[in-house]
Amino acid sequence: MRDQGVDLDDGALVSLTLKGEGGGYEVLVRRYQKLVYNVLYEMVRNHESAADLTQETFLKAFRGLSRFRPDAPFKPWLLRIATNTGLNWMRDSKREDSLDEMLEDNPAAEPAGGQDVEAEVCRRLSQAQLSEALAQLPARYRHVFVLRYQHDLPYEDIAAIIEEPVTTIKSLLHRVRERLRKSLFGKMEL
Amino acid sequence: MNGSVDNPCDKTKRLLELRMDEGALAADEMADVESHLKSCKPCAQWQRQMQDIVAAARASAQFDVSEALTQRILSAVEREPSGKAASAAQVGSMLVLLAAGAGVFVVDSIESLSGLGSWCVGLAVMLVIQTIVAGGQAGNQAGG
Repeated sequence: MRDQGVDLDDGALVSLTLKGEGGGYEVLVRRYQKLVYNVLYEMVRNHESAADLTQETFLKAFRGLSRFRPDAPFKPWLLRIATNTGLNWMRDSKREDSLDEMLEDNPAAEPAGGQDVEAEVCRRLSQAQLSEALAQLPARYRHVFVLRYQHDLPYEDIAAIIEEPVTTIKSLLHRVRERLRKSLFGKMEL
Repeated sequence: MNGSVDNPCDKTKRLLELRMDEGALAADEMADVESHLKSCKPCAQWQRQMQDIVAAARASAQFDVSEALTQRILSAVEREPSGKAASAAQVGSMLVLLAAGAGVFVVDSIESLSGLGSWCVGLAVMLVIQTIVAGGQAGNQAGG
């Protein structure tokens, strides 16, 4: 069933799931789990919590599937659930873990890819700086930036996920970029 | 664009921001930007910094999800009752409640004349239940 479903679009998989074909939802889970996990990780910055929240997101989506309009895009709908799940977690826990535990403590969370070692070290360093600067931003700013530039989502999808107009998303991104620039390069200009 | 008069640096940054948002600029706007960047070191530096930030974000490594987590999610989903089964259970529960309520009021009205009042109360309760159910269905249709 899973192999048959991989070619189907999201709407068809939702329909299959609503008809009781469990394999349809498995394809959706496999298709979006990495995206959902990474979006949530950027929000909560903790691998264990990101895994729990990923599971919670897919459960909530499954429970709400009958309310999903088949003609609507599934990805923004799923990411809206992930966003609200992450925000609720942050509200309840009132804590944000540092990145210290990142790779060393969780080998299973090793990033995918990796080619030339030297290039990889340079890239990781630059990403570590960006990651650190992002961590200093309010969660809302960070979330919008990650959706746009790390996951390449169009403005319209981000607007649907955040439930704000496109103009607000553009304005937020403008502010985030400027704050990141000042944070990352401000000292160099002195 | 917005009708305001920018200094050349502000105008260049605004156009570069626009290019980041829209992906492209008109040919004459692009020519203005390129011309300004050649002669303005701070703006050229600003552009490079913005490009570095976006490039670093786009190159960010994504964490893979373990098969163990996938199986955990799928197991949790399997334990969930299906949507149709849940809906049928809800409708069934509602019918049982309504039948029980109606039974109580029928017996009550037979026992005394004041049973007429009980009928009125019962009717009001059923109307409230109907309103709640209708509201829930409307909410479901609007959701998602």
